[in-house]
Amino acid sequence: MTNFDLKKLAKGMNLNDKMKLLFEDSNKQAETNGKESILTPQERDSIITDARRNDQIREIRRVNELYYLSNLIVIDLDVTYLTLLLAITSLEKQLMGIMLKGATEDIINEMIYDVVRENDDKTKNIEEKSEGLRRKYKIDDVLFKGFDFFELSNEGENNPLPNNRLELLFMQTFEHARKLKKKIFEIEYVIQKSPIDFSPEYNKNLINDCKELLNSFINLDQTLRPFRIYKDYGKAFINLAKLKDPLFLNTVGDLPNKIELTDIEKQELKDDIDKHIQKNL
Amino acid sequence: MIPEPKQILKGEIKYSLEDIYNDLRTDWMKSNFKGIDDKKKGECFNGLFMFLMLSGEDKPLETMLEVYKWPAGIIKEMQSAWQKEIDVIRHIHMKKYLELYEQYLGGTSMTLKLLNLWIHDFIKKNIKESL
Repeated sequence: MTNFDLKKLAKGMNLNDKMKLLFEDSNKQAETNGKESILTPQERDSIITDARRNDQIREIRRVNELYYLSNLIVIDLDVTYLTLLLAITSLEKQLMGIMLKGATEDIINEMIYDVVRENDDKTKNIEEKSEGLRRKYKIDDVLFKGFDFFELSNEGENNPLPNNRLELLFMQTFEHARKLKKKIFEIEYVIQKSPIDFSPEYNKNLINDCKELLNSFINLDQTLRPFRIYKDYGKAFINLAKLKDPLFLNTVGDLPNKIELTDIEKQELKDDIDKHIQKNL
Repeated sequence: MIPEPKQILKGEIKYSLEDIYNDLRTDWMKSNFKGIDDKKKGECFNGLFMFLMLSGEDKPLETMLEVYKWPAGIIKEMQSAWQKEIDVIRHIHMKKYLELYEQYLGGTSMTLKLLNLWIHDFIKKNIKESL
C-alpha cells in the first residue's frame, strides 16, 4: 500500500480537492464521534497552511459556513420529516376507521337481512324490521358515528360536508408538508451554493427520504389512496356554494400546485440564508 | 361490436358506458325513420338509452311504470328485445362498482353513492338535453 505524504501533496492540490479532504475528514469524525478520521492533525494543518499561503482561506471559510448551516438545516429537516410522518399516521388512522366502518357495516347489514329474512320474505317488512333492528342496537348512533367520508350538515342530506376530523387532520398534514418543502428548498439552495459536495451520506439519504415522503403525500399514494375520494368526487358530493370554507376541497383537489412555494417565499428563504452566511463570514 | 358482458367484468375488454352509448347511437342514427329529422332521432335515442340504463340498474317494474307510463307488457317486451345491451350496461356498472370499492374502500353504502354520482356524471355529459 502506498502512503501519500499529504503535507507535500497539499502544495500542488487545487482548492476544491483541499476542501473535499477537509470536509470528508469532518464527516468521518462526526460519524464516528471523533474516534476515526481521514487526516491526521498535522495533515489538516498543512492543508490549511497551504490554503492560507495561496489566499484561499476566505473561500474555505465561506464553504465551511455553508457546511455548518447545512448541518443545522438537516436537524430541522429531520424533525420536520418525522412530524409529517406522524401527521400522515394520524390521517391513516382516521382513514382506517372509515374503512373498518364500511366493512363492518356491510357484515352487519347482511346479518340483519338474514335474521329478518328467516321469518319474513316480504320486501316491505324486511326493510321495516331491518330499520327497527338498527335502531334497537344503536348501530347508526354509536358504532359508526364520525367514520364517514362525508357528514350530513344541519341542513340535511342534500348538503353533505367533508368529515370534519379528516379535514382538520389533512390541513394540519398539509401545513407540515409545506414546511418540509421549505426545508428541502433551503438545504438544496445551500448545497447548490457550494462548489463541492460536502454532504455526508446520512444527509443525502435523509433528503431522499423527505422527497419520497412528500411525493407520496402529494400523490395520495399507498395508504392515503382512499383520500382521493375528495379529489375525485368531493365537488360532486358537496354543494360548494353552501360550504363555509372551500379551502380543504380546493387544496386536496390541486395538491401538487398548492404545495409549491411561491416565488416570494423562495426569495425570502434565499435572502435569509444569504444574510446568515454574510453575517458569519 | 358489443362485447360479451362477462368479458367486461373480468377486465378482458375495456368497454365503457360512453362506448356502448356511442356504438348504439351510431347504429340508431343510421336507421331510416320516416319523417323524423336527426335532432328528433337523437332525442329518441337518448330516451331509449335512459330506458336501458334504468333496466341495467334493475329498477323495479313499479319504478319503470311510473317513469315511462307504458303498459307493463311493453316494458317487459322492450327489456327482452334489448336484453344483451341491458346486460352489458349492468356489467359495466358492476365493473365500475368493484373499481370504486377497491379504490376508496368506503364500504357498500359509500360505493353505491359514488357509483350513482358516476352514472349521473355520464348522463350530464351525454344525455343532459333530455333531462
